[in-house]
Amino acid sequence: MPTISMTVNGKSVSAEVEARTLLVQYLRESLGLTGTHVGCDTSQCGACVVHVNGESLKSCTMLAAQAEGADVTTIEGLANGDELHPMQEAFRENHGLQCGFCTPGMVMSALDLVQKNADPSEREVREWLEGNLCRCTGYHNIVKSILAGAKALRG
Amino acid sequence: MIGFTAVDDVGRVVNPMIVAGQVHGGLAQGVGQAVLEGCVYDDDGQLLTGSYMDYTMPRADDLPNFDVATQSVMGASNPLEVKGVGEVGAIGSPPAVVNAILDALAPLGVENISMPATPNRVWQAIQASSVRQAAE
Repeated sequence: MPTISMTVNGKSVSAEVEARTLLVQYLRESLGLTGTHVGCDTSQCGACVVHVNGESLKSCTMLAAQAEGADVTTIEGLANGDELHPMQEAFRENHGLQCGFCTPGMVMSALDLVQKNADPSEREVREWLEGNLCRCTGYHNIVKSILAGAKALRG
Repeated sequence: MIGFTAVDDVGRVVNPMIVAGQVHGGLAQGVGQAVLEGCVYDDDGQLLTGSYMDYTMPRADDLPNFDVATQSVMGASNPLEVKGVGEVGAIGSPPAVVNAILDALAPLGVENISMPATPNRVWQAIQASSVRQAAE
């Protein structure tokens, strides 16, 4: 079994894993970071989005071994202690979630959007979310949350 | 879809933000049912719509911001005077969307269309319409 090393939420981690282990399995099952969800298991729903070297990526579509040496950020890496990240706070404030299953992926996708486009339009947010499915909110409050989070991050 | 307005009777509104959120979700499900979502089986009973590549759920860019309001008669059957809100958005939205499609297709003589009214079904309905056939 290969040994892999990477940085996850600022911490160096190393483990022996089966070569076929997906990044999301490694995060959830080896590291216990269950904030990253597995929805469809087929790279369509976006519940498993994390950042790898600063880019959003569906972690069910990547082998853990492919993240060798990478800098990985999951939803657990956003808050500063008890203080939510401004994007998380925007979701809380705007009721941007109902069951919450898609939320970690939505937040991680949203953060990649705002680092590429700090002041997105409503249309741009909706188009960016093409890889993130939500069954219960109808997206209305997710879009509202992302616009509010982007505004908060612009300061 | 450029806009969607919904007015529902939900009895006493305890938390307006949650009520609006539930209605939004119901509307999205209704829109999905009306134009996108459907289980398809082949002749051997094999499900052909077994993944999100084949079963079309509404995505953020398929939907508009929703304009929702409540016009409530207090519920008489319980001391909180509440009524259900979890499904209300999904009740009126499929017929509203299908009626909008049929209204748009009326000049072409299309009088009926089955859900989900996918682009393919809309195209087929136009091809089969009496107005089109009369013109040819």
